Amino acid sequence: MGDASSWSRAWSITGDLDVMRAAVELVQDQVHACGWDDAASFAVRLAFEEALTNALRHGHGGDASLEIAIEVAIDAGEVRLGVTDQGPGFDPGTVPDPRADENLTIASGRGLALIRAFMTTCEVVPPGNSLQLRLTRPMGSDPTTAC
Amino acid sequence: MSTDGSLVHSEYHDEVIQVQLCCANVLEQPTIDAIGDEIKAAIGDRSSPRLVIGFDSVQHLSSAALGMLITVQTQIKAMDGALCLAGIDDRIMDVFRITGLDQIFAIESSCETAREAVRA
Repeated sequence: MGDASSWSRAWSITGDLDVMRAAVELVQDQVHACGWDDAASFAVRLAFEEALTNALRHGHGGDASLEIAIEVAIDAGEVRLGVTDQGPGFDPGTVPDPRADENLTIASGRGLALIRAFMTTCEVVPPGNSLQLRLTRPMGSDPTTAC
Repeated sequence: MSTDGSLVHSEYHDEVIQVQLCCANVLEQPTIDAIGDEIKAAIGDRSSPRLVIGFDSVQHLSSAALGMLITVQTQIKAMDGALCLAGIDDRIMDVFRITGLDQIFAIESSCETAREAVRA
């Protein structure tokens, strides 16, 4: 729920691809509606998509029937996204750096690096089954009054 | 997606195979797997394949899609061929830079220059 310049919602979805796609598109639409530009929309979509994919693939071992909890809060200055799965969690310190020479040609393992790069902050909440992401508007930028 | 529902459009320019991705979002595993299969089919049983993949229509790309491209690159190298990516949007180029993959893929601004690159 939200007024014209903010939007927030907490809900749970299954790992069904159509359901996940709808959630991503809903959030992307709301990012735009709250006056964020295309670059922010791109960043949020990429990070949200990767977080949901990680929840399904790693947290739930690919079991699409398990529910993923989502929390979103968007206003003119900040986008906050929470994605929590039912898995045991992971230690972010054990995730290999995909940019290391020895990992460059490995076909997987880039999702977390992309999330970290495109969002302002990325917190892995212990025991590691919950990602809390924030995108903040750069200092000095002028929020639009579109919404 | 193209009007006939294909995820890729393949053209052959002499010895160069040019595969244009036709979907805006290359995000989900089934789509990525299908694109990988279509690229494999376009290469067929050619020896030393010269492949260009065009990204002009692509607006979003996931890490899983990067994995598929690495697999294609590995296969092409094993066949003593050459791969070049082309027409990548600035934001998607950031995805390649952030992951360091701009170091392992040949990338050109257009399919035309990419065709020249794989011929060289």
